[in-house]
Amino acid sequence: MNVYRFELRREWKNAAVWTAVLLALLGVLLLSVYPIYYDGRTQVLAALEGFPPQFAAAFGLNIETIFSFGGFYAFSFLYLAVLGAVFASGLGLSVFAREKRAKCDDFLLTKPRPRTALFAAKGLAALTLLVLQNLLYVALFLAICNATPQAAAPLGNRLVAALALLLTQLVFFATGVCIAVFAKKVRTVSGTAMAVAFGGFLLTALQSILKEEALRYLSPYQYFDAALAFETGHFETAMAVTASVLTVALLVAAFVKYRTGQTHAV
Amino acid sequence: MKAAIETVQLTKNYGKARGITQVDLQVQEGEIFGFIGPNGAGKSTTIRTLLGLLHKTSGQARIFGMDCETQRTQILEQVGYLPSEVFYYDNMRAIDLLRYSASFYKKDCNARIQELAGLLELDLNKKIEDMSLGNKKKVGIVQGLLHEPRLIILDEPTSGLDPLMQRTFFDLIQRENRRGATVLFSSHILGEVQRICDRVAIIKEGRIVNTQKIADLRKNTYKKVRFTAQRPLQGFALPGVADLQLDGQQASFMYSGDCNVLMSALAALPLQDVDVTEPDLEEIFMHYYTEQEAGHERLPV
Repeated sequence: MNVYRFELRREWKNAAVWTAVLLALLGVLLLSVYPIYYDGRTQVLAALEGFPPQFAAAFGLNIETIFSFGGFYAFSFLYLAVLGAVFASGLGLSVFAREKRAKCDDFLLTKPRPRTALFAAKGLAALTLLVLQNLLYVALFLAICNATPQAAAPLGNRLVAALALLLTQLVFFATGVCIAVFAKKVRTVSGTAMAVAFGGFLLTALQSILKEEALRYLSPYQYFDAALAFETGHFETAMAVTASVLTVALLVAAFVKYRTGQTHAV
Repeated sequence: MKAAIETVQLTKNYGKARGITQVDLQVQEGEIFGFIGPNGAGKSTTIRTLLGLLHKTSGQARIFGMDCETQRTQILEQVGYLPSEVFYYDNMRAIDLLRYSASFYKKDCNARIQELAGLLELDLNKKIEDMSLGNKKKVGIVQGLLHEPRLIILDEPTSGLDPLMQRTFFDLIQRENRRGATVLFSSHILGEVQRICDRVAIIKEGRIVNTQKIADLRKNTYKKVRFTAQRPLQGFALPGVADLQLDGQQASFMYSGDCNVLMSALAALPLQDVDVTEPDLEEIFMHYYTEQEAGHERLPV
């Protein structure tokens, strides 16, 4: 428990800031921007017609659904998920590369604690922060849905749509953990986390432009389709399975390396 | 007496690169054991393999009879380790780091932290990143000793400590030893090992070249002798002379034995110049190394 508490203490401020930013963006997009979109449909459509369709696709705009609450949430979700992904991959990097960055692996790894327990404590601390963040996110999303007349969908659908963030974040968290464990050096957490999150964004944008089916499986922001979840209450099975397999594979690889890796003198 | 540390043919390679080769060590419980060698000789590799930070290539390593890989966690409950270079987390006060360190052991270490910090004159409320190298080292010493370990492993522990603090540190280690702790003291400074150790192992290029009691090491104190004669030398023979090198009028060698015998032998020569000095560690290692390669008998253990 001491490692768990230590990691929570080291990360909670950062998590609080990211949560505040994420919630603020969710509130602004759904409470302020969506009504403007909804009320100004004609002008928005006219403006979008001026752009090539690939441009709108690259930024997650689907003209057919953008004016429904679910469609607008799906559009907003891409940007919320990018923010969430920066936080999640940064969290994985920060927690699992903490000793590597401070060059104090010796300190932790010569303590009488199995590496399995260290990995579990670190992972649990990070997951606690991700879950707490998403509890607030889900609560705010549900509150916004209740306050928005256009957001007519069963509670289950709303919940699943809101959970898309946590599930997407888990993929990025696992990526961050894997990089932290395998990389020889992690110079900056924020820079690496941004690169990971925006790398995923570029893959998603590329898939949206090319409409290449196979690319969808490499587009992390499409694994959990918020619009589909809002409409039907579930995600596309093949994509959800891909995300789950990828997340588990990354975490297992990181765990094996963490448990069996060697620590050389600095 | 039981062995606190025992390695049998312990080998660690880094791919094709050499780490340590067939290291046989036996450190008895309750002794202060010196482990000396030049940089890159394999001291840290041996220690890191003992601590389970590196995986051995072959051989065996046991601490208190337990296997260093499979029973690593049980071993580490009884081990205090001070690495050669100390690094800790950013933005932490010394007291917070030490409390975190103490939280890994099943005992209350608060009084001990205060006692050690007082002894080493360490300000516990200061952030570690704002500390000098010497003070960081003190944090390392406290964190290595706060749980009263049965085995203390020190890897080049005195770097960064001023001479006064070094003396305090040696007193502390000797006090821990009187309490019953076994100490493995790695260093490349022969003098400091001679100061507190009971026995010493010399490692060079990954191999143990000699293990002997400090008392025997003192008895076999080597001098480095260089002299220039007034005419070309044909040879120079004297019991206790090793590594003799003749070059025209000049001769150099390592000498172990009665200094009066050496002086008499030199006085019989028509000398231009003579120089008798303490050999540096590298020369002692070279001496042991060449002696071993030549198949000479090892010094008594």
